[in-house]
Amino acid sequence: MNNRQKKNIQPTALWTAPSIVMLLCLTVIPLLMLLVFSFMNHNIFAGQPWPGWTFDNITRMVQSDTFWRLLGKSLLIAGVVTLICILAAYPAAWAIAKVVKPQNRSIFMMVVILPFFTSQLLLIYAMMNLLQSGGLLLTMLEALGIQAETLLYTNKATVLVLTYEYLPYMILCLYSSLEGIGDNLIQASLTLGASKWKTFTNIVFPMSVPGLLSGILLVFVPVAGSFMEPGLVGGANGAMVGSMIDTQYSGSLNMGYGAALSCTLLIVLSIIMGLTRLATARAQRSIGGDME
Amino acid sequence: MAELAVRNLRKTFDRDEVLKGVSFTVESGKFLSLLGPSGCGKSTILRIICGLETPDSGEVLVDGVDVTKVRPEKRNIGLVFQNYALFPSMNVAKNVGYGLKMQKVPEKEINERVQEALALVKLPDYGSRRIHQLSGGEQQRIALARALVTRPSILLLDEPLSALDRKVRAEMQYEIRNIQREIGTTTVFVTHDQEEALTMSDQIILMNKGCIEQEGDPYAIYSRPVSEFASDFLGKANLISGTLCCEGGQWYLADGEVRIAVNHCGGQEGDPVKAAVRGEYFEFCSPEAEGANPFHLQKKIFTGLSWKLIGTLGTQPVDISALGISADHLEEGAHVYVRIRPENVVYYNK
Repeated sequence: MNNRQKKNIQPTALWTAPSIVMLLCLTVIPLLMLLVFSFMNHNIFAGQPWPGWTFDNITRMVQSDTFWRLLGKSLLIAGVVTLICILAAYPAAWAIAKVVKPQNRSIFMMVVILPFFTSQLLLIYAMMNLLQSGGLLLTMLEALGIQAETLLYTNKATVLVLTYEYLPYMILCLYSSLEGIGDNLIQASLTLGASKWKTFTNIVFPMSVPGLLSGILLVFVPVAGSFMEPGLVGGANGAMVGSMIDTQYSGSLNMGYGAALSCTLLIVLSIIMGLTRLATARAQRSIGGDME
Repeated sequence: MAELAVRNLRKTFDRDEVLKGVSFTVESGKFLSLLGPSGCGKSTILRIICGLETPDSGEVLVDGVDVTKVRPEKRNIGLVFQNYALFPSMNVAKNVGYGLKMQKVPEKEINERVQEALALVKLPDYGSRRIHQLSGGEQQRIALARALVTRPSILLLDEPLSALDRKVRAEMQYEIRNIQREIGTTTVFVTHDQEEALTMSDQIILMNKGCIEQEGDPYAIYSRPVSEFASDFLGKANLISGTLCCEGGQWYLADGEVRIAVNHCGGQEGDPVKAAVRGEYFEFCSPEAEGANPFHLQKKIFTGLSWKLIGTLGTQPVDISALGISADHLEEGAHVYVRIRPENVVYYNK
């Protein structure tokens, strides 16, 4: 008995050790560093003398109008992008999971994943090329006799580019959930007198919530913190909270302040994701009993 | 309760004709089994009846009304799936009450009827349980309750017992039949298990390759199979070939020293025929007895209820199934005599 226990326990600890070490080094320690930096002045890595502990960063952040405005704007943009992604991804994921013949699924999945094969920066430049005045889109519209102004260098362009970049994540997440819903569940619902829409809201949607939640997580969080896209296509008024944090590190070299802003963003996003989880769990309960 | 009729159903999937003009009627309150090997089209008929599949031609009539073009959700036909298809996102009570909720029945009445339905399937206190906490047999009962709670005009069961182990399956056969009798819903049951079909049905339709092979009550279908396929599929009958002959008004199938008395049902003397005889219809007799035929026992297998005696009748291989007491004393290699009553033999022209 004792021998057997030993045998069982030792390898488990051994096997998990590398991933635990990785997790510590790459996630826990950097986050702790971020927290510690939030309470330091200036940039300790820029050769300045040790400034001691301070609350200056926090007070400055609380009083900063710009930060809260940009945070709000970022969350709004993230919300809009996530919403568009959900609306666009459901039909696409449904089509791949249920309509397309199983032997053709991998082709469609390939099409969805294809953008991941090139760098994000290239994707953004490709979109810029498409959108700019004199670009493909406007030229075509012009040929059709429609006069339009370019979207480029507006917040709308930021939303568009971010949606384009993050849509595949949502499709993949929803696909994995929808694929697991047996056809016979849908048929059972129909024979029990539910219309197609009722079947979607009562059966399909609750069962796709786990995928939806991971999709929201994978889209909302990085979009809220993005800085490259607003910088490239957002124009003069395009800045988001990520841009502000970026400036603290790359421009004004104020690491402490940047860390404080980052921590706050992290906390706000965590709270939002927690609330989303609670809200969906509640919606599920009210629709069809208990899930999970 | 309703009478169900299907008329001339045809269906082709990818150039593969699965139904070649199937027609039958189930009287109100009766229990019909569609029996056949997998791929014979029996499940497709069920899916057409409940509207999940559209036939290429033909119609489905419920109480004389053509419902072929009615959408599945408007038909009120209950369907129980092979793998139950219970909604994992809902507990038992919500699953059972789902159909009523879709019909917009008031909450209070839903609760009452769900309780009734759960009592009917003998799981009265299961309302708050989760689906994954249930055993296969329990899930099947819940699926049955869910299909019955809306009081469907017709209940369809698509191989509902095939995923259950033997003991639970026997219990459920009995249970389903009892419930069906109690509420009197016209029922169509699809199965590939002949024993299931025989024990449960009022009427059996044996299907083969998209056509109806034979139709009748269980006894008739078992004892008088109309074709080689029917005799082979139901209970694995012995097929004995020979020629038809007539002596003094009695017809026989003769093959060498084997002579089996048959009731004449067509054919002329000298016709080559095949007779189907079930293993349990052989009885041991003395060599002098009338109709005695020599049987050479080669192998003896104990199956629990009976002995399976493998050997030859004359030169042709047959399996005889005999109860313990009549075959206990026989040893492998023994030469004995057996006879068959003419009413237990059916023959077909080759």
